[in-house]
Amino acid sequence: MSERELPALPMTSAGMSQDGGRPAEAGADQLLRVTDLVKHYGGVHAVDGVSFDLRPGTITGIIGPNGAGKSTVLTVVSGFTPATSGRIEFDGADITTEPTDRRARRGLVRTFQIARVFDGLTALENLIVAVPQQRSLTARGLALGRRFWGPEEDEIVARALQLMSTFGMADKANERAGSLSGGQRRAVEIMRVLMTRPKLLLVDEPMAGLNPRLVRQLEEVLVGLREQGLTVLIIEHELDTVERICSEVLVMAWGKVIARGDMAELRTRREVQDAYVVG
Amino acid sequence: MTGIAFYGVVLLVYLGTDLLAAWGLNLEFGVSGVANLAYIVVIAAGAYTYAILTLGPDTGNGGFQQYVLGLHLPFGVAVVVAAAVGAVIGVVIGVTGLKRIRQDYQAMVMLVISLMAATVVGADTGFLGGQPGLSLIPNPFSGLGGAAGDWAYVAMVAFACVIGFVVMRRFTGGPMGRALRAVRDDEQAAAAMGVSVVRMRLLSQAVGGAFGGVSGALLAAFIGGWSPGAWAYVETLALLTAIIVGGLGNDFGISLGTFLIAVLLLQGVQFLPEIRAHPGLTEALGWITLGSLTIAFLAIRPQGVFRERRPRYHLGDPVADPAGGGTGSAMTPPR
Amino acid sequence: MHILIESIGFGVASGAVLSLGAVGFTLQFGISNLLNVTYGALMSLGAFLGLFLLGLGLNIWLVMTLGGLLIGVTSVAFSRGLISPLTRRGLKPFSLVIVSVSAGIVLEYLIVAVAGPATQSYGNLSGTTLHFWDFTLTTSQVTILAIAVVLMLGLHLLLTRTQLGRAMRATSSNRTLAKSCGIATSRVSDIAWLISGTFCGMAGIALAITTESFDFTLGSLFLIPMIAAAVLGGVGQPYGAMVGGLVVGIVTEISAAYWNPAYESVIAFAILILMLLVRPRGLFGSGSARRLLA
Repeated sequence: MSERELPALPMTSAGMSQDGGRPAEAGADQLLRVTDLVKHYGGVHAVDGVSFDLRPGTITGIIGPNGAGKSTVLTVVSGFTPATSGRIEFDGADITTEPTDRRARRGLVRTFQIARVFDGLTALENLIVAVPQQRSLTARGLALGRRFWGPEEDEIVARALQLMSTFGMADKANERAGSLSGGQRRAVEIMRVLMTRPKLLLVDEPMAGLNPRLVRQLEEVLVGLREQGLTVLIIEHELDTVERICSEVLVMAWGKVIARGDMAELRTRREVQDAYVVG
Repeated sequence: MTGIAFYGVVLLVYLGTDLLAAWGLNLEFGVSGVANLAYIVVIAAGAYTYAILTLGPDTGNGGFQQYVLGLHLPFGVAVVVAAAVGAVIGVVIGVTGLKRIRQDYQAMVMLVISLMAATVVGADTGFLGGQPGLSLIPNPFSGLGGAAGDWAYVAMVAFACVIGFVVMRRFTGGPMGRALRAVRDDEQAAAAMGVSVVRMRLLSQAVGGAFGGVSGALLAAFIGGWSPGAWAYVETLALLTAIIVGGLGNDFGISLGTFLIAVLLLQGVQFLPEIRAHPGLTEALGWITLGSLTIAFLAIRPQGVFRERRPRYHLGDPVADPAGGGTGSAMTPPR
Repeated sequence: MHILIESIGFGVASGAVLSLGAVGFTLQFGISNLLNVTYGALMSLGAFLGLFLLGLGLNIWLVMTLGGLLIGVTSVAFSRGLISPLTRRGLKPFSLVIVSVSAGIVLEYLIVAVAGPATQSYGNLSGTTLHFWDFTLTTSQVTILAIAVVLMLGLHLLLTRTQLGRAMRATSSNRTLAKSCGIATSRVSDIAWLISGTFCGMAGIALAITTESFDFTLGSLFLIPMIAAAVLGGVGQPYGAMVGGLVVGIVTEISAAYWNPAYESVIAFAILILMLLVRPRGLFGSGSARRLLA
């Protein structure tokens, strides 16, 4: 990322907050409700009966030793693999059997442990292509051409450029995403999911491989987004990050949630310490 | 018409039809990431469709060849139907990829489909003329006769290429090209963003197939005949090499590659003197060179001679249209 | 009923050759994670090498052994000279398939360059026709069947009773793990390619013996039933390939007897597509075959 510090958070710029993160009512029904989620891979019980709720406009952390099933929870909730049993409700609807792209269109998006970007596209194009249901991709759009979808495309491009400036990466906008560094790819991936104006963002260890200053920048971005109504579920090993930005934390081990609460308090709890030592 | 002039006509027609085919294959492979090793089958489908629609019933001409239909339809209708059939066959072949199997497994299955199609058509003499194929396929300009007819055909192929180019750009450039490439680069991530991978894949298979169908139809009408010998599985490799060498996903690159390889190389070797003791040597040399080129490029420079190019945007610029149309409005974000 | 039994007889005979080929193909996938489409061209090369050796006056069965071994050596050169370096360069399996198709084309047209495109024949090597029970087979078919059985048995013993065989199975299953256990994986690979290449060459010669005439496209034609056999048994599973070859052979011959002989390869193709749609990892597929699922 560039040497500049992040400017003031994107509260009013055209790129981000025209309609915020499509916030659900604070204090309203749970945005995400996961009930008795189970995922078996052959004989391995990756997730063994996990239940939790997410209130809108919050950042919730999931921590735990390797192999606890944290990533699997994200994988199942985002639809990349079907649940063995259990229920997933999002924004009032039962999405347990819905495919990934349908969940994405509802506003449920995720990032991956190893940042997945579209290598052959430029960084900016990665952002542009993320916006769902573009007019240019419909049959009418193909037939009528630029006259039909031009204005919408321009607006998306401008929004994407603004977002990249916000992250201090405007100078990399036209570079092939495949040639970016690991931290830059991570940033592109996060910007890309933000372009979809999601309601719920599932983030899998976003801080991995980032230097401390970038970690802080990313934390500020997430907090800023939360203040606009975005809900975040974040897996992180960086416990300081978790303490700083998460209002609630779930501790997982052996496929189950073994504790929940706020980070400072959890750090002192015996069973959490044990899980990390043994798990 | 002198031999040289006629050979020029042949080269031009081959170039035009090969370009259409290469554009179709590039859409499927270069832009959408599906290595359709059975592409020649859609070309053949177009050729046969054109033939059985424009020929009269097979009892004519002494009934020396047997085939289905034979509706004596006009040129234009037959070409359009050929495009449609190509699209359908393209989608059917593409469906093999929708199952969750590894890409190389899928590619191998497509190769087998190509071998299979040739065997089936060759074995059944009553369906599409079997191994000897179909001949006396009507040429729309045969009434003009001689040089005029030939050059008229060249003009028509050129016209088809112009239209084809415009249509192709709609898909390989602009937002559609972007979305297809995203699916190519990371199917799962694209799905996670709400892109319907299935729809995108089938679309590129259909359009790519349509291009192949038209290419086959125009070729069959020109040559006047079409048999399994014309569409062995190796022909797909010729196109594949052309677009790999030229540069996958680069419209200009693949066009140049098609010219150099599909036309110059494979046709050019026919100019070499035939050595009596070794029949088929010159053609064989062409294919050996082709195969070696493919391997060399995949090993050393897989992106081809001309890399895929992406549009560039800058803050404050008028948003230029990457598909070659007019410019959009200037978008300058508020300070 | 007589026709049925007779067809089964033919099916077993042709199935034996298919099994031989399919086992070689599947071994190569197991050991190198490569769907080696060049296999067809190598079979053609085997057939032509056999022709050349026959011309030297050698006995046909010696020709089959020698020719097979020569193709085995060629396969090792192929894997060491082309496949390994490209894999090290980071080429994905997807690109490698295109490479192997191209290599196949180069090989086939090298054959044309040297021997011409005309069809060739081994002449009539069938020997006498034997009638036993309801079967009708020629002596050469029986000999080929016997050779195939001996080779499969030999392979089975090698895989299960020897250290080399264990090393091969380990490398097939998990190469990195095998390497870290001290197994000389590249040496093991070479031997696997030698064995599978020999099977390939012998299959090619066997095909040339049993067909009236052939040309440089011999291998491509028989790739369809061979791949079908390998997929049916589960790619990467040698025992599956053995069974697959027999099944494809028998089903093909029965359908040829009762339906239309020209459509033999269509049946094999139908088997392939059916497996792909219903159970892509094959009947006995596990481990290596699972690699093929996305």
